Amino acid sequence: MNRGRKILRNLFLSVLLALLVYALLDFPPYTVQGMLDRMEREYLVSDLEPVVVRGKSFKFGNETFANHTTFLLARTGDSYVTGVFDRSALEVYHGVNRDPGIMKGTLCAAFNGTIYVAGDFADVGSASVEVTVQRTTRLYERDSEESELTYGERKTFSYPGVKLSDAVLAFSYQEEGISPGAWGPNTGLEGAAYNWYSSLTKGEGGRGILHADLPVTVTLYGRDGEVSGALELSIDNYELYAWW
Amino acid sequence: MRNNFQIWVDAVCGQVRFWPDQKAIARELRVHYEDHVKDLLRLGRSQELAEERALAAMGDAQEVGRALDKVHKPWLGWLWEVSRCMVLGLAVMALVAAFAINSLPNILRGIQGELAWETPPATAARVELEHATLWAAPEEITKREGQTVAAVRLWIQMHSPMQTNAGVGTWYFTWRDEEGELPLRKFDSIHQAYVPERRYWQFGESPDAVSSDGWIRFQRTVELVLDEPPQWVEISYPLSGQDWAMLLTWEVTP
Repeated sequence: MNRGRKILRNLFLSVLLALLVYALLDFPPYTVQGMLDRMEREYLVSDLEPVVVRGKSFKFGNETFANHTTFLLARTGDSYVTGVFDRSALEVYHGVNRDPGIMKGTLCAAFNGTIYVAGDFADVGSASVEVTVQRTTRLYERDSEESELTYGERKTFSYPGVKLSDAVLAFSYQEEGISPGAWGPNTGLEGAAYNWYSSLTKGEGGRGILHADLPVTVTLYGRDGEVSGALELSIDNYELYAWW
Repeated sequence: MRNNFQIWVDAVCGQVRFWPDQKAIARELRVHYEDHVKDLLRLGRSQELAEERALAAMGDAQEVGRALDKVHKPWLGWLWEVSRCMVLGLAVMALVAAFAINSLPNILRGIQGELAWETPPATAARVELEHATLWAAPEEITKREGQTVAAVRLWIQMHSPMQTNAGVGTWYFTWRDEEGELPLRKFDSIHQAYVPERRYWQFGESPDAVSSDGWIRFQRTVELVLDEPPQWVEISYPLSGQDWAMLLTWEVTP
């Protein structure tokens, strides 16, 4: 076999192996369009157009490859779909940052220190958001298999928003000078979302973080600056902290 | 000290621009040369004369080198090297993907899911979507803990493969019967309980209520927990903004 034929054989083998690797990796999407396509198929919708695309990269000390997270908020008609894709080397995982990940009319999601509210905001000039958190602890007793729920301090955080487009409002809630992962008393929303929701087991160490739907009130202002409406939404506390 | 043949070989190889092949060329030329020397020795020539004649027979070093350079084209050589590296690299990646990142369970699950596919009955309701074809058919109605459980079988055939563990958004469908919408139970992790609803639907928990996920084909049994046996159930997907519905009817026995 001459060299030309060997090259053709190797190229053919490479294509087969590449398909095998792609299948072994579970058909990962590497582009925004690929991610939208994956979301369309998972949610059984069509013609998704991206409304918000955000990304962040980080690397843990013991890891060989950096992690790249892509947050997508997309629209089809008046329905909104959100998805988070984590890529490390060639692997891509489609995480779910809210449930349900599809909403009709309005959708509220958070990524990397910003709350995004999607909807029809063509007539909105600006907006503000209020998120209420309350210390909540569930204490589980293994013997009786019963849980006791206690509530504590309540706090409401307010943030001004910016209109990214006629379909999206964005509210940044990351505060400077506050370490979001710090244990102990927290003044920031990010820290409260993490530290104020605990699941403990009596007589055992360790702490789980409760999922909680936090009430979100979005106040809309018209172009004249007057209040033009309000939206009562909710957001999962897990979405609000960005370091887990 | 280099002998005459080594000088000749170096001159030949110096003409070949694709350097990774130079060693192999030198090896092959040496074999030819040594064979020739041996033949001449067998014919009774002295060692010195045999080497001299064999070397003369090898030809002009510059000419041979140019001819070999034409055969061993650098672009073809490098393409060959790249193709070899590609095969090797992809083979390593396939092994890593299969064993190191635990893809084999996914593959097995995918194969199981594909093999478990049951063709939907001809009587099943069907909807054609952009990315998938859906079928739904009413199944058995049973009594469980004082409530009526109506099973509905769903089949989803995707038009292109997707992750086996991704699931398909059937959880967001809306279910209605003659009394109205059937609310989806929602698990409240704070109270560690499903939000109480008079009626709800859930994915099958009984042993025969199997679900399976392939790469292309997904199947589910949904159990509707009701107060009374339904006459019909309508499945739609308003959350998606799409206007489709599947109507399932149960035959009412008098």
